[in-house]
Amino acid sequence: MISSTSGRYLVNFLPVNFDSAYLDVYWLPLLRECPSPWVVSAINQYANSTVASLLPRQYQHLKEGIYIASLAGMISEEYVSTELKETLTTYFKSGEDRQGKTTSGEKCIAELDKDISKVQTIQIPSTGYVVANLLKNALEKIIKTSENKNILCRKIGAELCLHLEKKYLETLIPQEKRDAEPLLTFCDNNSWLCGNEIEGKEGCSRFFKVVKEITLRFQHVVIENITGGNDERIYVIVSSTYRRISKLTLYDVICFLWSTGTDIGLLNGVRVNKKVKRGTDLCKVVDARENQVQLSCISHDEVVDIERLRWSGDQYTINPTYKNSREFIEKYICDHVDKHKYLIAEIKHNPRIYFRQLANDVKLILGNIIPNNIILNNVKYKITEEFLKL
Amino acid sequence: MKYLTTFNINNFRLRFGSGTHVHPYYITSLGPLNNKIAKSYKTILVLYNNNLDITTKNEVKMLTEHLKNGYDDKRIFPGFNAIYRTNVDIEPVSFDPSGYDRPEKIYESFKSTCSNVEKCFPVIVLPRVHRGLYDSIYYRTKAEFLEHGITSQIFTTDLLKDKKNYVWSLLPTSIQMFTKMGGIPYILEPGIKEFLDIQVFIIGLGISYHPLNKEQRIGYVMMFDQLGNWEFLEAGSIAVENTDIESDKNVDTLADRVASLLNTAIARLANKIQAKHAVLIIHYSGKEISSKEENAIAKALQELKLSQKILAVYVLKINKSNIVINDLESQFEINGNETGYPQIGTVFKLKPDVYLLVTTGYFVTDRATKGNIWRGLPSNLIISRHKEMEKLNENIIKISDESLLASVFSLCRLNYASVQNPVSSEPITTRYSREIAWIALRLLGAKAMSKMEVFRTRMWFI
Repeated sequence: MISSTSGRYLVNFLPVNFDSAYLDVYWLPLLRECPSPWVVSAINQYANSTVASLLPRQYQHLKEGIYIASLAGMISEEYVSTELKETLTTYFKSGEDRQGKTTSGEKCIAELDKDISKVQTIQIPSTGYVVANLLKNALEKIIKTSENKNILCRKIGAELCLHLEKKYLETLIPQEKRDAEPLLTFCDNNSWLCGNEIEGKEGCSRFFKVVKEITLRFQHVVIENITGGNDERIYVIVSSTYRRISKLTLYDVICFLWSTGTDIGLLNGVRVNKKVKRGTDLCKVVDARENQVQLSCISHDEVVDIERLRWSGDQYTINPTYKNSREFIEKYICDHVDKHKYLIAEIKHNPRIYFRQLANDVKLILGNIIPNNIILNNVKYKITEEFLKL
Repeated sequence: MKYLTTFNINNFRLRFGSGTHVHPYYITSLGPLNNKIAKSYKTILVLYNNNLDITTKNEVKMLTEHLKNGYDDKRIFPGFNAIYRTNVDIEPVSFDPSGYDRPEKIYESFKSTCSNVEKCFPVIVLPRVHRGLYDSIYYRTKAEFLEHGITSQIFTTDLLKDKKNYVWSLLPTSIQMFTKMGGIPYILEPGIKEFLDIQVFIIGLGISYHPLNKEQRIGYVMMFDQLGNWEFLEAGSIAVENTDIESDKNVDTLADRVASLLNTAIARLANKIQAKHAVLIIHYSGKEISSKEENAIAKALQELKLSQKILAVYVLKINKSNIVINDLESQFEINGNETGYPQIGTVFKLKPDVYLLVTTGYFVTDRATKGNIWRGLPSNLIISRHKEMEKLNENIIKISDESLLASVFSLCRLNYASVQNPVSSEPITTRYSREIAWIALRLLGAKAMSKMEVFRTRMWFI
């Protein structure tokens, strides 16, 4: 058995307990006419009561296919099929502008219609490989449909990411305990980097915000037990840091320069990222004038009307990494944009100090921002507060 | 997850010219392992912008003097020729101020000063730039020289002015220069000892995207023997159109290109196998690899045919991890305060075939407990053995997981960039994927990459 209470090594793993050894899930074989990642994506984005996880190849005793679980206790297979078709319809409608998806959408639904019995209820171990991903998708859906949905941040891969702003943290932490959260002290001293509009520091609050970032990753772990067999467990790997969010769209920066009476010609030499179909084109501002900006990009040169920039969303953003951009930002938008690095250095000083902060963070989010219990069909999972010891 | 073992750095000693030691900086007294190729060099040119202010120009002269005759305290750096047993002349040469925008101007100065460029090695003084900038003067200059078959060393003006770090950078910089000149500073003392008649080769396999065009990728295969002896690098363009993202076609095309690279490398390796048989251990980095590239690697390996010489191919995927370990019994204290840093080389088993290897923390030598980190969180690697990708001849004695993990730890020890640090956070097989890709991408236009012997035989990317 895995011991979580004694041992030499403390790891940032929170054990996930469960009240039944087996989980009933709805299983769907990989469809021929319908790409499985689309089905999974449709369920996770649009289904009200279910979440899904894809297993493209057989893994241990789990067969390949789409695994679906309900957040509302057990439901019928027919209900799952109906909800699946509805979500696929919504999913394909949302992507009608994308080439080929409408036709494929019709094919997907037709294939499901042809054999409604394709959804089957099967039993898998409550700590099986796919369960980690089902729990992650469930937690994401729970947060998305709660009043806290704005705290979710984008992260590539299997991690769930939360951004907690100063104001939100103040609602969670009682006055007498606020000293334990470094961001609150930081924001007291640098309020312009935490959303407060201060005279002379308008650029900081408009384009930057420092937040607490907590990431959660559900991890499936297998370990040999003393009888020579394998025990499977699920853990949540939790990490904590601080992040400066930047939103340096070129149009907004130009508007800001106008509002402060600064010549937009000062943008000359600043590097700009342009989102294109194949990735990102890197451009340099060659000439910025009243109504247009001339860019020299790696792929081509272009002149963009300011009016077009207004409607281009975040297609053109200043790349702050280059020296010229950096100098421009620090001179005309916000000085000391890297102050949050001191915060990071403070909590990541060494493992001992980090775990002290992490323990506080776990107490802060569990049961407050995210539920400590997640129900999938017939099983109640509970994320515990104590870190694993090995 | 459970504790498995700890690789002790004292059991992974380095072999120099006249002895072995745990620490790379002993090269100053024990000399390099092999200086045969580097000895053919006649001159090292320290190239600097003619527009630099007089103080910086004097600092360039100081750098030249230190490389030539050593630092004041000879224990820190006794001089290039003294360490590497070479006989090169070292002198400063200025280049046109436009060189910062046009690296070809820097090369022109280099070429006009050297009667035979193959016998000259350039140390180029440039302003410090962010390594994450594809379009920077750093990558453009390195590519410009490499296109002409010349490896180079960049030294930043910022480092010239940072007196404390400057002093300690002299030795590691010289090791990099020597390596790029074709020398072998040191290798590992023990290798994988499970076989008698079998040579083990360790391959770094990588696929990296063009940062500005995701349809353009570079694939590379680099080869070391089990002692960390550098063999060669093969790299090539992998351009695949992402027009139909749902199609398996581009995975097949990717797989074909990866297979072609692997086959070229293995064919080249055939001449280097001296034992009766050989075994390959592939390290590939998960850094820039999506499931598409991973499927392509798996398919490429399926196509790989084992010869009578090569009996097995093992595959390890290496990822940096966000798992943090707090060692409650850590022996490493700083200013009397407990740190929680774990011992370097500690291995945990996460699940079957998946391991966690600690690469920063503390280590114990015969004299004291030291650390390769003083502030910040320790880093570690997740190493996954991909058995489904492996190819094993049924008659072969299988390599244990612990030996496979040791191949990663060994190549973390092979650090030619920072001599104070006995273990890098990543093995040399996967550490330089970006440098290789970004410079190779610039050479694609020259269309001569495959013909460049220097590109394939020197560690120009460190």
